[in-house]
Amino acid sequence: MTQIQILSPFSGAVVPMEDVPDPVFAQKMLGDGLAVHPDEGLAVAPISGKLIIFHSAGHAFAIEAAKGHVTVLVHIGLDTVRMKGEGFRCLAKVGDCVSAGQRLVEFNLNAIVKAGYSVVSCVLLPEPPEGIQLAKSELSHVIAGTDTLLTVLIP
Amino acid sequence: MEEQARQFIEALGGQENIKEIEGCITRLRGTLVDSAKLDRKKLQSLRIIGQPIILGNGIQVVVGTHAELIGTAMNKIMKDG
Repeated sequence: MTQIQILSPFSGAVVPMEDVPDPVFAQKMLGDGLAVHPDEGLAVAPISGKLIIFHSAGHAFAIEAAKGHVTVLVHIGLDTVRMKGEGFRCLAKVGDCVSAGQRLVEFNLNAIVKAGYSVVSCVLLPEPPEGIQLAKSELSHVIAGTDTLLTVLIP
Repeated sequence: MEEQARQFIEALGGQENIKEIEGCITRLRGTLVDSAKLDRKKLQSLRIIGQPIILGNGIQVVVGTHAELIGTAMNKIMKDG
């Protein structure tokens, strides 16, 4: 049994995926995970691995873990693709190998709120390998790069 | 990717039915002229995830983590013809 710890990319209050005000995330159409209501505008790498996706708007990225064929998708805010990168500063690029806890995106929480979007940010496994189990943190508040948000158990 | 983008344009009712389209990280989102012209059967055959979300003439289709690439390819095709 292999265990992969997925750290929280954000500091903030933990939100169950079912409560995310966006049907695609809430219905787990993309995959299961947890959401965080960030206290500050910083996203760090939840796992060590390779940045395989980094949206040009800077609001979402995916990292493939160095082990276990697990990919973690991080989406900052909801509908924030419409901000076209405004208020988002990327600190890495596609293809980069990153370490868990490394700063990847700085974003302006106020700009997201002002633009009329939710800051609730999702962390999920878009294409989980078959047979894995996902354990979710029971913490109500997490610290970026320190607290484990999700644990993946690979048989 | 280009072939897939062409298929999506067709499934959304053709270029003349697409006002705007963009790829988010996992979904295509856009505005159609008439969402009734959407070809649901064809969309399903393109292995989308779940059902398309339609609100008036606004549409969202979950396609997977290559959505931005498809959206970019669709816009290129529609611009270049």
